[in-house]
Amino acid sequence: MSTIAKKFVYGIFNDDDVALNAVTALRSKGLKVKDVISPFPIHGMDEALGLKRTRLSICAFLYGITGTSLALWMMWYMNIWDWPMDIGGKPSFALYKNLPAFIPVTFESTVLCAAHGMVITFLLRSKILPGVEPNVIHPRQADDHFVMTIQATDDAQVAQIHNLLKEAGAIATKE
Amino acid sequence: MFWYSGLIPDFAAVRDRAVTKWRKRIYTILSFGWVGTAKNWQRFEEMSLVLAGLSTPLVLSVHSVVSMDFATSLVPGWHTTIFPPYFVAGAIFSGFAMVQTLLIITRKVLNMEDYITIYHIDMMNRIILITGSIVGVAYLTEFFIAWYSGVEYEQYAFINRATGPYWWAYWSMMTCNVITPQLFWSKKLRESVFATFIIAIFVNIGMWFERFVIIVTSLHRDYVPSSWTMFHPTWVEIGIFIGSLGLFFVPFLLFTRFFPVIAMSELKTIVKSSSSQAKKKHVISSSSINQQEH
Repeated sequence: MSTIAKKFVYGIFNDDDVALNAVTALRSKGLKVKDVISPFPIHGMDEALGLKRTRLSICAFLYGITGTSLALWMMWYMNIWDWPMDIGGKPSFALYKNLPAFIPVTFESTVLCAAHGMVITFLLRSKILPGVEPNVIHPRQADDHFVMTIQATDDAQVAQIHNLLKEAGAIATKE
Repeated sequence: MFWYSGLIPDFAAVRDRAVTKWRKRIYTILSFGWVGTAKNWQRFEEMSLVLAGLSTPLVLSVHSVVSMDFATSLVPGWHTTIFPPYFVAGAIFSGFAMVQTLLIITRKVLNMEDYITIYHIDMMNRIILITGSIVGVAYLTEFFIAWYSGVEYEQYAFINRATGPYWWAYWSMMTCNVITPQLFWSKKLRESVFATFIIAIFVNIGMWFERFVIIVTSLHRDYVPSSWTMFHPTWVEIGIFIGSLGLFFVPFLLFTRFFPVIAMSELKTIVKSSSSQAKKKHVISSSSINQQEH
């Protein structure tokens, strides 16, 4: 372990293509590119940074299944088990026989659980919630500038990172 | 939720440009402290995709279920199996017309003619034309099925709609919803902001009359002639109607005043490619002008 805990160098870019190429170039030189903050999603950036695919859609699927099961269980309990009623000459004997009447509620419940579960997971995993103070490195990072974060292994490397960032097209660098 | 989660990055953009302390504080809370890191954007895009996929069938299911609330009743004029697709088409039709009405004013007032272009208005008018025609076919099908069913009450309900005491409501609906959108077959009218605005207003009126026809004319005469009556709105009902307009327009105007009206982060992804195209077009047109001058 180095004596300095973590030292970050930030490169400011004003073009998404330059930033994207810079990530590939700097990573191939062995630098630790931690992140790129951008005002809009840059396609190909996750591959360039070596990020894994997000599992958010798998979460959504699991929440959806939960919603489906909950709705079916609830309707089975209410309409078949606890209080079966004969409505319009259609008695409630078994879940599968009443399934057509249960489709709308099942669908709505699936969508409700999938959507809410996914958004809540997104907020928690991304650590964004009302009251969170944003980490604004450059005042125009949500406007039209791109901030690249590079982690230095030691003090000696910092100056080298500054130069490499400038070479790769950064308009400014910052510590 | 789909709406709000899409706004989060744009709130962050507003937050970072805020000059006063209070604005900064409010937009910080609204933006949930969003910073567009690569991982956040990756998750954000995945979430938008799944939410869009979930809400598309929801549009169909919501309007189908609403219409089935009518269709499961035994009231002549409501007891109709065509209601679900008819309501879905009607919802898209009236929704686009309402959006056109608001959009045309908003883009003028906020100077957004370069972002919401005539091309967009033309494409939306095509949707209005298609869904308006679907709604028209649904009206005719309802009539045909009423006759074909052989059910006397059903047949009377529809003849009463067109020729009874509420004929004016029925024919206003027919004119505004079926005939006026057919004007959009003309490209000139589709691309005219003024014509679009007028036709969209007609569609709004027509769709209001559609609800009036479905509810009032079906209810005012049913199986028992002794219960036949005419509908007279009370001051409470008129008040609720006017209030509902306020309930919509106050949040709408507040939104356009304080919130980003255009999905900025989404637009920024295409702004470079589209602006380089625009530049190219500009160069071509200015060079051709130069040639003419020479």
